[in-house]
Amino acid sequence: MEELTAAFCEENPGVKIEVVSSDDARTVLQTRAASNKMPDILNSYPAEDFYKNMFREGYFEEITDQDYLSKVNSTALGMTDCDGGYYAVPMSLSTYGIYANMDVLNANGIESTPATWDELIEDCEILKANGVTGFLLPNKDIGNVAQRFERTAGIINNDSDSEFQKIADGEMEAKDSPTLQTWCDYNEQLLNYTVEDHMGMDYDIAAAEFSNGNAGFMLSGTWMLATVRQNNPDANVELFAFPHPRGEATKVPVNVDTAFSISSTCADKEIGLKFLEFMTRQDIAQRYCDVDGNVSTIEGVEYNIPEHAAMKTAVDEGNIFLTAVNFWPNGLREEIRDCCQTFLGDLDRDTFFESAQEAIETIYADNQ
Amino acid sequence: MIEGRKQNNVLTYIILIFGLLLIVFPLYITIVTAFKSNVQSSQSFFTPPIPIYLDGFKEVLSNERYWRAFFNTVYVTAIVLAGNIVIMPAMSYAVARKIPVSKAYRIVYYFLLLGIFIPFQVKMMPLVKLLSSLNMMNPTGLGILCISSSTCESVFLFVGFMGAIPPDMEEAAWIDGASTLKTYTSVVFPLLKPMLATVLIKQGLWMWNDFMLPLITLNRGWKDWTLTLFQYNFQTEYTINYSLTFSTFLASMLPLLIFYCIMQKSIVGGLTAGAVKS
Amino acid sequence: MGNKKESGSTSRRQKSRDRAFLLFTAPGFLLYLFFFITPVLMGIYYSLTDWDGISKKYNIIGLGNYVKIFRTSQFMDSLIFTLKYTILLVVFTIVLGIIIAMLLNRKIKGKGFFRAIYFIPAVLSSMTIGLIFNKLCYYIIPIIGKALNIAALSQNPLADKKLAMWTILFVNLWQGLCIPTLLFLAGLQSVPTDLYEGAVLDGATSWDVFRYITLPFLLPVVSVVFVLTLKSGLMVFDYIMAMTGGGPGSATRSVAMLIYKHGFTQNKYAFSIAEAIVMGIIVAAISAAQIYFTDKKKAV
Repeated sequence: MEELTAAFCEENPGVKIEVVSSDDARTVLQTRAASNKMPDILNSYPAEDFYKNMFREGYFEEITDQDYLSKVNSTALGMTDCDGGYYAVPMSLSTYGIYANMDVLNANGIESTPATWDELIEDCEILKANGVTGFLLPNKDIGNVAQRFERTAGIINNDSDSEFQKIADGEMEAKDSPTLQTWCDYNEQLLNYTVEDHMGMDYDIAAAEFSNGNAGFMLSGTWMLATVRQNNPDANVELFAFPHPRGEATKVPVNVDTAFSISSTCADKEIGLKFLEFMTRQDIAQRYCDVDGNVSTIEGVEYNIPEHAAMKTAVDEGNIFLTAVNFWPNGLREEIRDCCQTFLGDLDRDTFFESAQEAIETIYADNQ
Repeated sequence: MIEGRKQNNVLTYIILIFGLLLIVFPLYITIVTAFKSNVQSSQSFFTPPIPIYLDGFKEVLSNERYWRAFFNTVYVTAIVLAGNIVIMPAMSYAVARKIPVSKAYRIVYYFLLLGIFIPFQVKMMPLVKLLSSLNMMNPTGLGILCISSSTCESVFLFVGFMGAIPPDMEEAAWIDGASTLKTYTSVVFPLLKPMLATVLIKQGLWMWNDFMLPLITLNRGWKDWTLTLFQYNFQTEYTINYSLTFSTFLASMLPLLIFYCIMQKSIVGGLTAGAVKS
Repeated sequence: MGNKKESGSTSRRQKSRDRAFLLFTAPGFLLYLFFFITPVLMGIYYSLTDWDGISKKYNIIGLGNYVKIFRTSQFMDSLIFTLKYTILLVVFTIVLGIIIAMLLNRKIKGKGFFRAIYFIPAVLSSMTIGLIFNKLCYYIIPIIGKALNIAALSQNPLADKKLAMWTILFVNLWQGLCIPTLLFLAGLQSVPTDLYEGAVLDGATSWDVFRYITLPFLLPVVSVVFVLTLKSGLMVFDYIMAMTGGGPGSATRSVAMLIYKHGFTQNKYAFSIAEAIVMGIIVAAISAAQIYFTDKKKAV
């Protein structure tokens, strides 16, 4: 990112851009908004409710009439639509699935990634028989637990929001929810193939273990590739779609990962617009894509990442859906993750359904 | 009798050395990890760094942002310390001497005590609004803000300490006709010095290592970063590069460690001598 | 010189003294009012609204947020965790602090060296310490636990609902003991040595010496350490954030973590402030009681 901004500044003498990153983007953004000191240009997640609300509140410039939006893949652009207007240029889509360490699989006589749930379990059995960890589940990392729940609940039922709405409205009980049940089932199954200390494992540790060939599979999204390469430059991994645990057809969850917005307090909006134009140029977007690892949404950009070939196909074939967090009411993911983590630790379904019920009721009531 | 004493000493050594290991071990890990490459670390966390890998640490130290953050931290900490030297002892002196006779001062004191227990989250967002409307979202503004945040604790410590200082010397100066200011500067302030050392060390350490306040007021551009912000931003960028992560840990604790090693005698000495014979 | 004149000058001097005291107090107090009390009052105002922290408009909804706090057991659970944690932290800090201070106060070789090392954890940032220990808990504790055949420690202690709190407490003490220990060490210097000598001659046991000579001299330090530790225990955030994020489940979720979760990850900003205020009131009540009792003691 810093390289690209430097290139932009070279082209526009007198312009200076500083890149500030933040783990806790929301906290920072919230306090900045309160103080009217928003950054000039911002990486937003335009599909999420939180950001859509900010668009509606007028914190960002509307860019609906900018020509370069035509260079953006229309499916991706459609995901960022906010009441018929656009406030962000989506640059890339992240996709989510299962990473396979091909070196590990090949060493155990498995030639290709599994296509169905049963094949996945079969492969895990083979690995287990050979004393190799099948699946890494970093269950100590509560953020990762939340994300895994959100992405896979979406895969199990692309319209999980309506199902949870029913629970909130009292038309269904959490213990009868097919999505929650399937989520419990598949986790219970996968826990047979994971490490003993899975409840003590953080995401970064799991990523390191996976990269170094200590396990066959790990759930994650396109952003993990950079980490894998850093840990082990020779790792041979592939990302494939998470097969539906009930054997139904499966779709790949995607999210808008990088999207640039201009804040309404930006001192020089002309420069801001110029920057967005700059980023959507084919050569620049290509450079960005090669480092970023996500699927680019800009026309003409080639996807040179063999590890993610299956994901590119899914995007091209439209076999994708916008991930659940964009539809769920604000805060559901952060509320329900506690009981998910507890379940992964003790596999107590009754308690899980009870607390999931409470979490869903509370959040849906708060967001009416 | 001497036997028993020797045994006691052996026991003392055993306990103290156990504590020593407990303290040193995490530091060992930090240093070792900083000087190992990522591949070395992900293979084993404990082994000494052979061959030694300096790239991570060099990268941190050669980053101009690190030095800028270092100076910002020194600057902000200096403001807080100055405020704690100039304002707090004087204020505490007045409050401590007035509490027995004046209801107003008693209220002021309890009002300040109350502040110790107000959760930070209550005032976090309003504070940012306030600061930004005053155009104080910069290191100087943060410093001034932190003086006021340290008020409660400092006054609490000083007033408690004042209670142990007998008023004899002050009264003598008073009878000699010294003004209140003169009494304060020549008699009271020197007596407060041991507690001043404690307060300065406590508030200085707090300011140096504070993360939340800089995060919400200064994370706008690297020119304003403090060391904790530098560490934070650096770490998010290189999520799991152990060498870099631990190098930043090390680099951000190093200035204080060096300072402490040099000043160790007077810091520990100053704190422990802080006793008043009553 | 007449008596009248002298008392006149005394009262004039008294007045000038009062003026000086006022000048001493004013700057600090005004700063405190402006940068501390003003935002707190603004916070209280927001707690009566439905503001989400982002939108430019919001409505005043009265005490609605306060009623909602007790809708689920979350707040009470966090509060109980926080109180339990704080009590343990305070007790361990005072007991261990005094013990270590007494060890460091013995006439042994290398006293200065030990004192210097024992203060080092205080200069590190709590976030950094949390992150380092988080790694140690995964990589090292299980090895030790397996070697010593302790079942509970053969896995990451942060993964266990019961052990997680103790682990965080340990890390907190690892750092938090430094300053109290030095304060106690300072307090020990104030015990006149002749008192000890006399006691030994009288044949007092070490416990008697501690109970009747050392402890009374340490009491003022104990009350200072008590208040400072009470505060840090009740507000505990950094260590938990760095080590468990409140997990497993919600086993280590302190009130500060809960407030953070509601206010900044779920956009229930006004609601989270209401929680913070309730917390503040509870804490103020506890400390008021504490101050009341210590003042009473002093008066006796």
